[in-house]
Amino acid sequence: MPDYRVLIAANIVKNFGEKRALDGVSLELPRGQVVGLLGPNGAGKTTLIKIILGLLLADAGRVYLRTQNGEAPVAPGRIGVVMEGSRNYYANIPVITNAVYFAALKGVAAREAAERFRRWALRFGLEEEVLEQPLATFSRGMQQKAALAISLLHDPDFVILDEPTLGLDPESRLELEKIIHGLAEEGKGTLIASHDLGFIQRTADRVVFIRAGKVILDDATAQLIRRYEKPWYLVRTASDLQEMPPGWRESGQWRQRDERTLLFTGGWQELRQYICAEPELEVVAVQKETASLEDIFMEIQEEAGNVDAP
Amino acid sequence: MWTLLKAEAILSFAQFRRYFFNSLLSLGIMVLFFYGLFYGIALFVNAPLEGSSLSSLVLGFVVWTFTLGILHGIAQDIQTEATRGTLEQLALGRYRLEAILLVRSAFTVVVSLLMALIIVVALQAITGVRLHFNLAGLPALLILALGVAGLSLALGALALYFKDVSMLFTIIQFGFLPYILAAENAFAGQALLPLAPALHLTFRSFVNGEPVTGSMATAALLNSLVLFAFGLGLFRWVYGVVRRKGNLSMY
Repeated sequence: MPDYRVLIAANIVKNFGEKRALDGVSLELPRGQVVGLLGPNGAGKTTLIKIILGLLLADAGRVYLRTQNGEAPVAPGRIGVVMEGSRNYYANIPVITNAVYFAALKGVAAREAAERFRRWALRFGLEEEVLEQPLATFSRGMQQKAALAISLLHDPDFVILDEPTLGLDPESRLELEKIIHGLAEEGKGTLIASHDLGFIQRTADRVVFIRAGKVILDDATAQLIRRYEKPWYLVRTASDLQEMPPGWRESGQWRQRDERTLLFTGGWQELRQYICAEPELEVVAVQKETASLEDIFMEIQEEAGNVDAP
Repeated sequence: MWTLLKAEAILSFAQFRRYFFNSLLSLGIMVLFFYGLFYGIALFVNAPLEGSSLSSLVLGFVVWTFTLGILHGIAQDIQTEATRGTLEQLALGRYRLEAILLVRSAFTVVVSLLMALIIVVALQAITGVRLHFNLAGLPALLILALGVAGLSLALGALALYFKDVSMLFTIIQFGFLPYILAAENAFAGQALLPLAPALHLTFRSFVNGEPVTGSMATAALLNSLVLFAFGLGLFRWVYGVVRRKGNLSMY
């Protein structure tokens, strides 16, 4: 029988003085899934993560595990965490010593921790000879990999990553994507808070949007993209376009992306009619574009902004 | 708990090795500091220090090193960890934060005592005086350690809340030495002062070889227990407050 466990944060409310940072936020993280936590700066992502970890106490709501046998409390020691930035571990001592020390705080014996760390390090592409070097000598990407490896030494059921791609080059970001997919395949539930929407789109099975302390959207990534998918077309012109033909901008269907690219929202027949009506406009290419998480995020932001507006 | 003890030993050794030169330098400075203290007092009383008065001075110095070791192990470590940003990682383990800090302070004490031992040997060579300590006083030192741990947790609570309490450390660091030395002779009426009975007991046990029994030992134990309970209670309460406020690691 599969060991079915879900980490649940239910109706979390948190106030900082007069300011309500989280207003009834709920989130579910099943094992084997990757959940992306998105939102603008100050939306409450890190606050929610700290409450899940027990570093911050909520004013209302609770965090628990749903298991086959009912509910169970969450032991923070069962979660692997990489907090934002490079300040997770002691930068001045060898990375392997950091690994042994922080694994011991989670109850893993020194020898076992060193062996496990070597295995993870090898998998993450950290060579044996760098393991005796202080973390401070590592590149940002290597530090992130080392931090992730250390966070996995106690074999947690869930992994929480706060802004894991911060300062990573594209190659390291790609490697991190593979690692996260691998963690999901091993059955670990992974929560990623990030501003890197492309990264989330490629890694997360589900995304949760938070804005001003409220969940404004919680859906499967693929479904979300399908739901928000519109027939968007990129229309490229042969020469620079000083301004759009009359009526196009007013229709609300056209946007200018750059001097030679227009973005059209609407059906193919409708697009043909627009183009045929402007023989002066020399169109060299028409390309259908699908919605990215970034487009959806911007749209949701706009919608939420309109809702909030008086 | 054994895993935690071993881990703290590994971390202490790694830090000591990383800053080996500074550790050696601090040892030399401690010897010089005591040397200055030794001749300063001899000059002040206009008589050479010897016998039990010298033993008291050396013991006072060792106890000072010992108490500062515990204070640094808990209170100052919180400040350092918060500055580094690693305090949250410590709080995410399976052990209580105060347990980690107490174990860490135990290692700081072991290192401090080893350094004090080296200092004593160096001092004997410098002054030419042989010191005689009665090891039967070890229980008194443990009672003292309990009280100092309580005081350290209380200071640690202040460091958790106010983040920077370095001025308080400085005051305690220099105020503690005369406090410790004064506790040797005056006991009556001071049983309620923090650590005073334990300090008095430590001196009498180590220097005079008096057994750790009777009303003085009871008063010392009670004093240290109250101090420890106060420190632990305050630490847990403040830990809850900073977790509610969300500024556990905000330096």
